[in-house]
Amino acid sequence: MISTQKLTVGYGETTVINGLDLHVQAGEFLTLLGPSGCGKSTLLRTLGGFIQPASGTVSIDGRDVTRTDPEHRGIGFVFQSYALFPHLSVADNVAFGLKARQEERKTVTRRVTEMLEVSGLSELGAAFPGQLSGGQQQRVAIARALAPKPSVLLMDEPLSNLDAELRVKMRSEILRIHRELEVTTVYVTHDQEEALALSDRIAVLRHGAVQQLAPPHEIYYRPANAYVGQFMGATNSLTDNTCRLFALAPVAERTPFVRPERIILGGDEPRAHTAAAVVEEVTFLGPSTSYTVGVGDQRLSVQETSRNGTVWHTGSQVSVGFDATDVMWVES
Amino acid sequence: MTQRITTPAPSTRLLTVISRCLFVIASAALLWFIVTFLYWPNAVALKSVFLPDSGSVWESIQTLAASDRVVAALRNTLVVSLISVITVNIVGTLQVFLLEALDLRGLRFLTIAYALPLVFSSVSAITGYAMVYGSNGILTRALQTVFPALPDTWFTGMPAIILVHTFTMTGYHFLFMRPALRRVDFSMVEAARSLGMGVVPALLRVVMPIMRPMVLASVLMVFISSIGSFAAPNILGGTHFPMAAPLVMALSGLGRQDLAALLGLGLGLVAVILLLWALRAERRSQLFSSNKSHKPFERITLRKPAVRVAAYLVAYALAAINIVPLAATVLLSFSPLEAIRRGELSWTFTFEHYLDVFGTPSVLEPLKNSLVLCLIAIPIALVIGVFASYLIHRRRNKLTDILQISVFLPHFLPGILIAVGFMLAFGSPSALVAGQVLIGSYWILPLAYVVVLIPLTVRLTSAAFAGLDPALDDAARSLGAGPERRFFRVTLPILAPVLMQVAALGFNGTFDEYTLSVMLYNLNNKPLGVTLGALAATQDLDMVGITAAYVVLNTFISLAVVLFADRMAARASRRALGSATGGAR
Repeated sequence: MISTQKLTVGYGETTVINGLDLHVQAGEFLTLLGPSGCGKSTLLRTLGGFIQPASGTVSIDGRDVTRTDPEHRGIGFVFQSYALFPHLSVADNVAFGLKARQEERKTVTRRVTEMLEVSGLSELGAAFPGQLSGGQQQRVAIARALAPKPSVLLMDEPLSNLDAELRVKMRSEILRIHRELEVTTVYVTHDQEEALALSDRIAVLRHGAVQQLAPPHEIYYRPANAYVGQFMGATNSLTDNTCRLFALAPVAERTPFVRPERIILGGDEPRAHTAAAVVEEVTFLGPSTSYTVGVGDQRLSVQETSRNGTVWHTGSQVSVGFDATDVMWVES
Repeated sequence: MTQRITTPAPSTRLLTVISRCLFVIASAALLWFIVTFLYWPNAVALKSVFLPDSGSVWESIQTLAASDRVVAALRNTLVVSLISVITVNIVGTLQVFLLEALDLRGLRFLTIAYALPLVFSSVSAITGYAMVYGSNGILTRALQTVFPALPDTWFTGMPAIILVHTFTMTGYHFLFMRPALRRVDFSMVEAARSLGMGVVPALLRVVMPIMRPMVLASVLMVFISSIGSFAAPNILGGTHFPMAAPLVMALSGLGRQDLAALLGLGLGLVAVILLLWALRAERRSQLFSSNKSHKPFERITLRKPAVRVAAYLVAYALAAINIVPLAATVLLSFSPLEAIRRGELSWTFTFEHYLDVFGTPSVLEPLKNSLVLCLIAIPIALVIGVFASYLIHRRRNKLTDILQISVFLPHFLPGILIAVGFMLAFGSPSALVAGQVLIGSYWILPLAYVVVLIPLTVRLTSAAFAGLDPALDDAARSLGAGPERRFFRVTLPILAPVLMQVAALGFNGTFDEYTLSVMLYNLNNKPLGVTLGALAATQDLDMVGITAAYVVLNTFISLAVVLFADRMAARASRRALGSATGGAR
């Protein structure tokens, strides 16, 4: 388990994290999600001991480690650049942490073999990092971090250097390894899809403060505020005038959001809330097609599965609609 | 899975205390070295100038100004330095562009030819040039058969010194400007060409401005080397072309060390003024690329036949000028003595000169001495340099800023001034060296070598430190490694290739070093450079063969060290094929 109490971190005059309380349960996979500059990597590096907080505490398994050096925290850290030691073989990289802890040779060999197996790298023990593909390097970085059996695994955007296809594949690998070893993991990313796919809980960060800490489903369907809603892809925030056109009764101090994929263009089934619209822009994206439609004086984003048949064109007059359950009433 | 928390064991805490003690001791040793050998000699030199035992600084200046030879020497030094800056930079930059920017045939040959000043420099190269162009030189003899009136001493004075400077001071361009050109984003050249600019104008108007900081740095390096030039004016200057550095030595030999120090300080002052100008100009010319991606520099194929022919002519002419002195020296080293006496090139070869070198203790001893001196000085310089670089990069504060300035001090001072400072500071017992008199002792030379090697070591290891991914150290920390383990198991192995190359470069700079050696040597440590200088200055035809063999041996040893270091460095870095940190495939 890892937790922070009233944690404040800054660089010079700038405060990046201000009085943060965060509790990660044992065995949990928690993701720190947010845009660039929101303080997620700073928070992770503070948990790792690479940055000293201005005030507050960091505890790992109930032990206050705020002033403990990273080498004595019992953490595993996976870096964005992997930071593999280029002069050491894969096996030596994985063994590095065990040797630093002066483990017996037999234990080192057994544990390295075990970790290489878990990571699917058994054949590559003698290879050097420069001879590996990006995905393989990534696996070595995880195996190396996990070899000394850390209390907590901290991962700083470990998939950001990989191409899209490999990223999806490695996502499953990380999830598999996490489930197999049940190590408490704090993961940093700015990719919403990655966070939704991997996490037990997600902490959405903005200006160093947690906006919402909840399981992925809840974050997606019940965003705590407009920022979380918009960051998680709810781009249509309906104005009062648009609400009237859709016959949607306003709720005090709440803003209605409708996700682009929940809005239906045309459609045979009647929707609870419909309005007349004009298609202004059509963007074919392969599996889906994105439309911008004008409803009154507002432009709405709509996303539909691409079809070979009916396709709306720019200038098409069309009715748009959604159900009452598709509306997310978010704190203004 | 069983979870485990790692808590620092008592033994770990003890190790931490020991490592902190070692760190304090190492820092104190570094401080002592800097104060004793970098600051104290200069302070004593300043004192001898401004607070002389008799008279005043004004009287010293008047004494120097009243001497026609001193005035002429200063004027000559300034003129030679200014012209050398221009000619060396033209030749060096041309060589770099010919090697890296153009698609020419025979690049391997050209690379070897242009790299020669790295192993064939200083007093060896000057001796080699004397063997071609000097009074007994092959070319001089050949020309005299066509133009009998040509005097033996035609290759002396300013033109000779400038020619030697021009073709022996391009090592900086080869080592540092080439990689800088390779780092230029080639898409900028393509952008210029897409906008209608020709190849050569694109190189001149787009690439050259980006390279300006490197050019400024090389201007500085060449100027400082030229104003402190010792071997070239000493061997090739002749009797009517005095220059400042040999004059400093002459004054010192006459017991006027106050005047020698004043003249040396004058040279140092000029160097510092130029340094300040270069820093200002560099700050103004600092350009930052905003390009998101970087396209490696590509060689350009010259399409116009006339331009292509011109490029080949220039490329091979420059190569020939570099190669001829060494080739002539090699030839002479294998020529029978009779042929040398007759001034003829012989196709009969002999090893007699090499046997003479190995059989003559007065010639062989300095060679051995220089090897031992290098083996002492280079490891010390590496240890100091690596520790200083580590402090400069990993513990940035005001103290390490001062450290950075201190270790580069010898870089900007003419060697002759360093030598005079050493003579003044260590010619009498000094508390800083436990009351010892170092002048006349064996250790004065290795210590002086360490001083001049430190800037090179710090410069290159600092660059290597700066290029290290800081995440590597963080990764080792997260895996439980303490400072020593991190340094010895992660940082040092990654720096190893650079250190090997620094050692090789240091060896080349020290093995036949002349300026400091000739001022500070004694019978216990007479080095190769001093012996070579004496051999080169002799007019005795019987010594030409032995001198040539000596130069060839020196060059061969330097080359062997460079190739060995290069191979070791390549082996060490081969493991880190490509970038091991990040990057998808």
